[in-house]
Amino acid sequence: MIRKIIAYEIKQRFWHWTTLLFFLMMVFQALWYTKGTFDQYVNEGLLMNSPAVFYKNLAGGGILMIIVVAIITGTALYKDVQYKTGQWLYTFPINEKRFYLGRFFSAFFFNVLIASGYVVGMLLTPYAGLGEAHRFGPAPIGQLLHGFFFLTVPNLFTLTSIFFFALVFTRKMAAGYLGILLMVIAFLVMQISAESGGITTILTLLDPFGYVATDQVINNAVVEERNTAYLPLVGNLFTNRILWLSIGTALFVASYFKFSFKYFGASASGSKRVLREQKNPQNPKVIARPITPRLTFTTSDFLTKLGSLAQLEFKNIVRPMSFRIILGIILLMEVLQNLFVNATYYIGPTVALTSTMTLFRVSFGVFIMILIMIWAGELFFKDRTVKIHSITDTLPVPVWVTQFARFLAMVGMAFLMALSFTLIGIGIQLFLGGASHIDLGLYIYDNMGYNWGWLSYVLWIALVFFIAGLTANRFLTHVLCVGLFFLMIMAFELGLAERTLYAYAGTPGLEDYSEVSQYGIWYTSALWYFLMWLALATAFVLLGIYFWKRGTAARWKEKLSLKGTQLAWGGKLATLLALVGFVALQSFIVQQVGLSNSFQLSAEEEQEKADYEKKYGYLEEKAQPKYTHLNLKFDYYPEERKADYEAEILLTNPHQEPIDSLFLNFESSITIGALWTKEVSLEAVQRDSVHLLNVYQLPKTLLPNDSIWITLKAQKAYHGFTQSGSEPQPDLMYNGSFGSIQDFLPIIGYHSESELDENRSRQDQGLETLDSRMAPTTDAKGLQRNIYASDAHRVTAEITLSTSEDQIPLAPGALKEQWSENGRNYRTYQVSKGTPFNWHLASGRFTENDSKVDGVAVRIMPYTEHPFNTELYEEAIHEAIRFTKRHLGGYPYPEVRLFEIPYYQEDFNTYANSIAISEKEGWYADTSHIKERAYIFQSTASQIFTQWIQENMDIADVQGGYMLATALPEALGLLLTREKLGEEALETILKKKHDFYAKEKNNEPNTEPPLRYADGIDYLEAHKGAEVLYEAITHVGTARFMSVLQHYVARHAGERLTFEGLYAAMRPSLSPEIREKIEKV
Amino acid sequence: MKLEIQNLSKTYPNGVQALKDVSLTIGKGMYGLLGQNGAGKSTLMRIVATLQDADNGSVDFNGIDVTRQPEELRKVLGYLPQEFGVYPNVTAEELLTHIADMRGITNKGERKEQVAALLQKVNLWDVRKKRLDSYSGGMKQRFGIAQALLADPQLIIVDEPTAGLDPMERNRFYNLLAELGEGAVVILSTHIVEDVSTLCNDMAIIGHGEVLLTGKPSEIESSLNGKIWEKQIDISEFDGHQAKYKVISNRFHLGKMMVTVVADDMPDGDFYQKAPSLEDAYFHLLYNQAQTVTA
Repeated sequence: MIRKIIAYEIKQRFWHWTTLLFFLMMVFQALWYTKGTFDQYVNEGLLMNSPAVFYKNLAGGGILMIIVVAIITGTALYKDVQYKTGQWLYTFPINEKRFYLGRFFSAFFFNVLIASGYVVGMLLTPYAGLGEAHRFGPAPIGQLLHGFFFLTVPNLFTLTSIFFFALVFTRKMAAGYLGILLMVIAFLVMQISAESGGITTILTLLDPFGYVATDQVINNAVVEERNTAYLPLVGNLFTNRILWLSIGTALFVASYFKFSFKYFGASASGSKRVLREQKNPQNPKVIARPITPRLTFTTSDFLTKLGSLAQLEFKNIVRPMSFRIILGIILLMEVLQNLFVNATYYIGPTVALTSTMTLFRVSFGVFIMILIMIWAGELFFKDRTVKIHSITDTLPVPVWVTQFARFLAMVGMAFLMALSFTLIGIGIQLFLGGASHIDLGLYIYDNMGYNWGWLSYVLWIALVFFIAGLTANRFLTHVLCVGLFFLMIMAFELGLAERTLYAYAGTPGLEDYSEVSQYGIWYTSALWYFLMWLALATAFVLLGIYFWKRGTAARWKEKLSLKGTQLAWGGKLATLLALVGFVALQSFIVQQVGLSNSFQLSAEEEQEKADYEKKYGYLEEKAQPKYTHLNLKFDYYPEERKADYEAEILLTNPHQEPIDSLFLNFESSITIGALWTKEVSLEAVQRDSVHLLNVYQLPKTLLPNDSIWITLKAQKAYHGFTQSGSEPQPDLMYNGSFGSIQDFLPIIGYHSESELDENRSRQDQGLETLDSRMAPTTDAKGLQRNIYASDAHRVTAEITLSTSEDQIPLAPGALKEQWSENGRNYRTYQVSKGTPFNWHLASGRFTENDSKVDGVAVRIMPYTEHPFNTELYEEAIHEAIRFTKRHLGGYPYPEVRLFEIPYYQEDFNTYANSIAISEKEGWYADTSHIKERAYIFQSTASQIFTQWIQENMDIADVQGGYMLATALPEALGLLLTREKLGEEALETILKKKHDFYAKEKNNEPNTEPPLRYADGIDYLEAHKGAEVLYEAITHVGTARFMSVLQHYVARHAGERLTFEGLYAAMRPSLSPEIREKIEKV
Repeated sequence: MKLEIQNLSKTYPNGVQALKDVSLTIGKGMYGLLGQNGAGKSTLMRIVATLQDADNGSVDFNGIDVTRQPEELRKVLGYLPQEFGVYPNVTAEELLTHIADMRGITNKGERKEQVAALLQKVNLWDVRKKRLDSYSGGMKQRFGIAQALLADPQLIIVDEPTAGLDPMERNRFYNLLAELGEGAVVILSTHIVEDVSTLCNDMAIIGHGEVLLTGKPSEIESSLNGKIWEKQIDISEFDGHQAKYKVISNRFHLGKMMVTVVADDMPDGDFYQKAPSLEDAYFHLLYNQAQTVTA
């Protein structure tokens, strides 16, 4: 019996044209996902058809597969209800349990059959033109089948079980779809959470598809393993598989026992409890014929109806218990997230700021948006679903009244939802004692506005409205809307789309709020994007009305005819205007984004960098002068995102050969007013506007050790706006400007940071692969260069900055003078002793907190609204300065400034006597636990040691350089942390560093070098390097290590120092284990 | 007050020609549209009710071109479709009031009065506060009738209206329609001959998308005067009779089969003459049409 049912069902489906379509969709998805997954990994030697890529594809399942599963599984059992065949079929002498098994397994096997297209697609990747031949290895058939049977097949089983379970227990198809949807949402939430906050055991287990657990295993695999190994079914992955297979089995068993013809057939026959009438047919109440009513059909009547209908529909949405339950669940999730999981960055939980509350709309945005879209689709088709449309469609009310009323009802429902998020957020802030942090403006902007808030919901409702009108099919509307939404998300996740113009309802920077600079320029760009989407959404709504056909669905030809009467000519004109407006706004946005060259596709950027290297690589060998002194007058205009400046630069030729021309690299958005020497104005003899490099002939040859003063008058200004969160233009912001000095002044000679440093990209661009990102320890040129700047050794300066009245301008050096004039703040800083030229300039609204330790003036400058952890920062600075005095001969500057910056750049920036720390590294962290306190203390103290190193050690730009510049101060920070905060504090940081290294080492784009030859990559020096050096120091003993260090520094004064040199001095004292950790990977 | 249907044709995408050059003129009063299932009645009704477009032809009601001015027609239309649903979570009174509002009865008092009157007329007054999803099939049908009569429509189209009604309710509905037929054009589309013969002054018979016959029921009946013969036979004799005579219908009476035959003279001695009914005329027409198709 079971076999017969399965055979019949599969035969029925197999020869249907949709089977081929679904299969081809799977093949297509395999090609698409393979490319996307491959691009996510940066490993040099990773094969595009590697098992790792395929395992991830299989675990992800993919949106198309989910849709196909929903379609196939949906009809398998329900068709007897839908087509009422159950009314007679269920009376046959069939064993109902066997019937159920037959239908279940026919759906499951058919799902597996269609999913096999996914495997076929992956096998076809080498022939699909996705990459060059060398990117492919032999087909990993064994691993592919292994993944298919351990990832895809169990996932299909669980999906089928959930669908059948929901269907059997509710006897409603919608419940089945909801079951699948919840699985997808759980998967997306776990995946996104893992990506943003790191993989945790709970995330690996709660992900129904095992994707996060698979990702975790692959992250811990080296490239060779990724290319060849079978996915080990152990640990979290094994538990995940067992857990979800058990859930699937439990649901399957439960639905098996629940199913019966009598029970399920009740919905097939439509029988339910009906009213028993008490008829009085013999004496019906006879009333006089009522007066003939007056009928009115004025526009005013229709507008009144629109209002009342919208209200009625709104009540119909929010009244049912199901709405309240779903809203309740969402709000509960918000409460849980904001109370317990509001970690924003590496560091941990934060104080209850409004931005952490409104983040909920983004982290659960996918879930919320899908729910709203499905609700909207259901409402727009409500009349057809209940089959009352044959009555309502003949009523003398225009479509714009009935359908637009539903649109308004959905808008109201979305508003209610967004308002609930806001009220819950405020409630939580009050509960956590954060009443003073409540920012109503931000709540309104985020939750109620177009930044993935209420107005964004409205835009998506408009899209659903349009598709509903276009397709006139409820199911197709759901599939297209949700499918389009997923497609959009995945396209951006996988890097297949980069322009926000392709993200319907998307606004730039919606996830990139800074507590210092707020949304900055994105306020402007988001507004323009919203206006653009609003124009399109307006057209969608009008077209939705136009296409909405009463009665029997019209043919496409009739539907698209301009003669349709659903919209008056005014409406048609308005649609046209909205579309023209959309195109015009799009053009305007493209033009604005282009004004400051703020956006490039990553492929274009890569190409440009490669071209720079090919064209100007020879400059690396060309002698060029270096900065030695700078007199800078610099005026910030934060409101205009502009700076005017004049720099007198003393350049010196440190080479043994004469120099007759200057090669100057300028950042984009800089306008050079004039460039002159003391004698003459310099005119560019060659301008490369693509690579922004100008060549100037010097008036006279600069002989070895000669110097020349040049003066640059320039302006840097950003025009237009940026198109995504990845382009914040942080050096000139409304508040919290922070930029390298060489964002304004020219970089002289070859700009090595423009090089591509990932070997895969280099291969793609026809460049030689790198053995190391840094020069070898024996490289003569590298040994001459300073690690901090290729065009300067040690520079002195006098810098006068001005900015708006409410901001403080900051530059390196001692503060010599400050004054206000014409509503502007001025400060003059002096760097009287040469320091490495890694300087930055800043302007922002700060609070200044002064203290003194060991004769050093300490100034802690949080953003005015962030006084939370000032004392902790101060303590770390004080202790580090005392430590420096105790062990290293003292802190090198008379004053130190520590200030907060937006998080758009490096987390820690230390130069001369200044330290700039990202807002997310502790300024508003909740430091009630040792973990967070320890992190802030250690990371801040490390910056003091960095300053000592910068002042006392000239580090050569060769391998191992960052072991001195980064790992060493970090290790000293660890020492101080243990000393002041204890072992527990130390252990939390060591674990953090270890975990970070373990995770990131497998994303090494090239080849991981041993620490001895570390070549400047975050996961290595700052994490593994710090950990091992700390071990080495404790092994040697602090006092002895300090002595070795100081001795080494003194002995090589005036030379460029290398880690190789320090290591040689330390090596005899180290254990073989530590040596191995430094010398081997 | 007149509905004029001219040369209406409709072919579905699957090739089925639902209407072939249909022309009808329907005046005030009850008009019956009789036809088998699939004859094209509902397509014709949907086109007149603005729910579907015809490929060719026109429909005009009192100067309103239904194709071009559907919104004008809807102001005077009352339509009871063959199949319809209701919102599950609302009461009859709520939904009827809502539909009354949509129909243009903007005055609250008048709306209330109309709704109350109609609920009483269709015998739903006592259950007006009950949710519609608890209604039986017959109650829903009566609700459908009530909504079709809202706002005193000038053109009332009722498609298979008595389906699901018990005999008592059917009578009540007949009375209601007859009352309304005095002041409006009422089209009763049905395959139940009795509905037409009971109620209609004029009628048309439609088959395979074509108008087969129009006229008054009495005239149609009388066209067969003296030609209808009936006989009681054994079931085993049926095929023989069918081959030998023009058998237009058969039925059972007290367990015995009765055949009805059309013939100018008595076919044989066992037949007896019968007064022709509308049903006989209808079956005769269908018989002729079937013969034409076979030929």
